[in-house]
Amino acid sequence: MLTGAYHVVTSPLALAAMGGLIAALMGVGETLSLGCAGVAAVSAAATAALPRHFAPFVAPAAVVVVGLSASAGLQPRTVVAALLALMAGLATGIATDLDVPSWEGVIGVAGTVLFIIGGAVAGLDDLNRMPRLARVLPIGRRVLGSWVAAIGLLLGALAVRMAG
Amino acid sequence: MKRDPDSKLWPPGAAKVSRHAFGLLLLCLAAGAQAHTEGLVAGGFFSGFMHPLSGLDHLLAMIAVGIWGASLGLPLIWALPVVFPLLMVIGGVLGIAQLPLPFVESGIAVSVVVLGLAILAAWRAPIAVAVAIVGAFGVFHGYAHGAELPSSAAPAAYSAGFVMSTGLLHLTGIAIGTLDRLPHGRQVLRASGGVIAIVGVWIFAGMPGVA
Repeated sequence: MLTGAYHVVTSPLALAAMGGLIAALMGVGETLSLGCAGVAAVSAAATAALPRHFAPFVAPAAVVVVGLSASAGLQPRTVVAALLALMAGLATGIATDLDVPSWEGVIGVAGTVLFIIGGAVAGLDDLNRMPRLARVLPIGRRVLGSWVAAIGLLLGALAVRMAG
Repeated sequence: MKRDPDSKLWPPGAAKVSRHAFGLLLLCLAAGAQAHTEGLVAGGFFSGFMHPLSGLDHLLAMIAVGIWGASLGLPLIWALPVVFPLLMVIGGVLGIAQLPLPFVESGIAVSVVVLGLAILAAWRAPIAVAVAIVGAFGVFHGYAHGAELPSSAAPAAYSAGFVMSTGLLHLTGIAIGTLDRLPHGRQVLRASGGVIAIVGVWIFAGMPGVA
């Protein structure tokens, strides 16, 4: 399980995908955001088990979509939020790149994704209630989203170049 | 220790936030997070992070974007730092593809001069104009970063490093830009714009006097 967690927290693209989802879910409410954390965890686990079945640009493309939705300041409703969580989980699962996928590793990936996204979203929900931070956080959310999208665009271009 | 419910020292929910923050801190300190050492050697996260910080031209331009955005107020206070990295990656992609882009170094130096002058003049540019100026300069800065990306040992870590570093410099600039609320803050900011522009001219001239 530790191997799975280790791969998640040491993969820049996985961290970007989770950061993008955290930014995208900011302000959507605790229930929906925790549900989305669960969707992302399941999606990451499923794709971590089958990492070789995806084209190299899929993960960066998913990260770009998640990042852009945050930088555009969208407040996603249930279905869109779940789709974003699905894409972020997909990118995280691919980016973790488990050498030999095992049940323990896949569970480690899911647990880490759930812990990071769930913990961060709950923490930000608390911070959002502080009047001063409530003015700053929406700006931080957009800026973080643009960073995530930028990282995804660069890595997507790099993946296309390597594949070509 | 029980907290006085009437205490004004800690806002409501602060204890819960502290618990989450402590949890995240522990996560950052976990041994696993320090593995994958390629992220720390040349060509990894550290290299990427240091790239915008190690050049005076990049450093000043990024901070100037933040200061100018802050002085222009909403929505440009967030729009400029959002647009810059997104347009910067366009330049980065050109650099990765090794497509020729003329006047990259001159463009970067000019960006320092123009952004410095905009701060000095307290130019309240229309939104579209400000976004276009910052975006165009972002392409030049991105090209310089992107050209080094394919040869880096860990491109994902390198790109994450330079995007984050760029963003943090913007946030630093925004923080500096909020000084205009202080007495004489506006004058200090305008003077800093003048200094940035002068340094930009010096960079454009090839930094005479530096070996």
